[in-house]
Amino acid sequence: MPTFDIETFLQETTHAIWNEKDVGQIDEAYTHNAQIHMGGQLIYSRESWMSEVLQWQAAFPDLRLFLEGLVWQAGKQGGFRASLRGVLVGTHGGDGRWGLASGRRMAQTLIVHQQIWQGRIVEEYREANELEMLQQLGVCEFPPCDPPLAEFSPEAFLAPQGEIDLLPRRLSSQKVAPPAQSFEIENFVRQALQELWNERRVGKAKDYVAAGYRGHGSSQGELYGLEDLQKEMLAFLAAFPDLCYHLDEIFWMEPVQEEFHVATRWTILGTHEGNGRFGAPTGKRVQISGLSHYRVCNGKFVEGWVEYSEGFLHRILGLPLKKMAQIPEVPQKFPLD
Amino acid sequence: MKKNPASPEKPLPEITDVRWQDNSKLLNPTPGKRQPLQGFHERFVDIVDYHVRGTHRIWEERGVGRIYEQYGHNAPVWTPNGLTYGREQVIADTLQVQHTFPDRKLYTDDVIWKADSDPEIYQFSAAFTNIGHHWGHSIYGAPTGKKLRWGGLCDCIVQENRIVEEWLIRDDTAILRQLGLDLWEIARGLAEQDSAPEPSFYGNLDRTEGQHIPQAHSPKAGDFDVEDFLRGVLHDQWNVRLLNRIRESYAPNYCFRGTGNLRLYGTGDYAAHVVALLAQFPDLHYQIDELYWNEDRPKDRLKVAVRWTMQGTHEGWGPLGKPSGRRMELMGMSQHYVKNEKLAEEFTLYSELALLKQLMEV
Repeated sequence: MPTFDIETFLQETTHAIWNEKDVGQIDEAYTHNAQIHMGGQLIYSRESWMSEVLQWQAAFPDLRLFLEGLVWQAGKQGGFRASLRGVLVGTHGGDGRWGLASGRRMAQTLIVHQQIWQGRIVEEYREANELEMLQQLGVCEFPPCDPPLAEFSPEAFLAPQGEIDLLPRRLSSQKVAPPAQSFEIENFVRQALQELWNERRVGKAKDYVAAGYRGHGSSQGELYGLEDLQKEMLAFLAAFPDLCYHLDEIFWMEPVQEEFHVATRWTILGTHEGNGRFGAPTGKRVQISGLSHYRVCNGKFVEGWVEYSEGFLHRILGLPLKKMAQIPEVPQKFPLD
Repeated sequence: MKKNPASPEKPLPEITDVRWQDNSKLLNPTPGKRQPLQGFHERFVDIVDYHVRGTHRIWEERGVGRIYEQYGHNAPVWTPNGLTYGREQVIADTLQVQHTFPDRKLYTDDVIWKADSDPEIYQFSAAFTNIGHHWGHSIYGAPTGKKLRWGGLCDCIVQENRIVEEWLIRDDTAILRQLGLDLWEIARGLAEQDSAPEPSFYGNLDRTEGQHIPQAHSPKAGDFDVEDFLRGVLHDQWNVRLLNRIRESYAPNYCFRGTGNLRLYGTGDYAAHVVALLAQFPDLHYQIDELYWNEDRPKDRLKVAVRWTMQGTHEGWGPLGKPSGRRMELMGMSQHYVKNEKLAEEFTLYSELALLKQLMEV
């Protein structure tokens, strides 16, 4: 019985399904009841997932997924958690969810987390840069959500909005005590996120983040330096003053020369009560789901890739899909390709 | 580990755990009984397999007549909409659902079970997700063609291959919301057609003894006892109104899945859900009718099945509107997940439709 090699599995599966159009490989790679959480929505079962992938393959006949980063960790009970980072590139050559075929090229950055058990993907979280992709395609309105949003935010009778529980975080009951002597990556990341986000101590970023920090992902574009990162955080904290950041999952690779590659899954809860990036305050409650990769060197964050359910957030807040001046067009393929 | 009679040197596989298992394994288990299963058909290897493959044979394989082998002739199936009595009714009900959703697939999300040995009686709680197209008629009107997803929970007592008693909740609220139907209107229609008599008087809910105060739970001393822990949290929270227990005993990123495909994240929204019920039914009494648990090994936590009943009088304001003064009784089931001595996740179902029906004056 050949031993299961996680990296080979991930690379071959991704390549087969996305690049070679071997969509039926989903039957082997996923469990029948796999759940894929994508941009705030749930796709339940591999059959439903196959339908979704087919829509992408049909709309972008030359679709390719370029893998750029991989973080994985073996689980204590068995299985693996893995996080892939990459870019999905294709030419809009088929009619479908994104309108009539426009011939324009798109390059969408994304991060995918997978829980793998006995050689199959049992649960997946996907976050991608939807806003940038829609801009590249020249789409003016958000495509309809499939399944419709109503399924996921029903007006249930017994689900009134509650307060966002910041009290325990302010009382530091969730704080992980920093170890005095040695650096421990999970403690470090939890401590940083707790202090910077939940305790609003954005000024303390210099204790956790290198001055030359590079940030990537989402429609805001590149972040150059610590101050850019602080600006990002303040934009969110201002728009959602009762923001609470939950770290749902964290795993990492064994460090190489004191450099850790870390993958996290997180959720931000907040009420839209501040003016700013997301327009005039709507009073709406938001739940933002996100995936991040970080490089942590010598005890500081030096680089990060963050993707989150930005499209879903815009839909909930009723924000229009506006033209973003700084999104460059993806260069079209040369005839010789 | 038990010896495998087919191959004595190889130990028997453990009792089936559906968590993260693919159907290719669940529908083709390694032969060899893992539990005594006295009187059960030879094909089943354990009680979890009985549920998974038994259900598949009846539903996906359309062997509806297999209900004759798998239900007692007089098995009662308790649902929020009333009692389905006897296997002929179960067959009729199954055929009705198969007509309404001809391509319905049932995905078992989790099974929690217990076994008694003398007499040999098994009981299991299964949480499942259904996905199907609304291609047939039903009590809710003509087919719409929509693809729907809804959950379900069942608690079954099984003896000698037959379900002898069952509690079943299908999330009809999720179906109705996805169809865009008005729950109040449907509830009114059902209440008007209902031939079951309403009681002409009610008793005290006996949450407290007279004017004595409700007592908070005293936890057992010693090692962590998940049953004692959960009974304590649920009693304190619901019956003693000690909602501070939510922050104490629930993970801050608590995941609640409920009726109507509802997903709540965080203790804040979960507390709001509890408060809404308590505010609208100020004399609410929550009682646990059944509780058993297993280990959820892949996720390194414990899973607890609870079947419960809530009763209360509609005397407070909330999303249900003007207090009607009427008494309600909710039949419900939950699967709770406990990790590191805190509640991490929950799947709970009751019927909002059944609730609304009871609040109607007809």
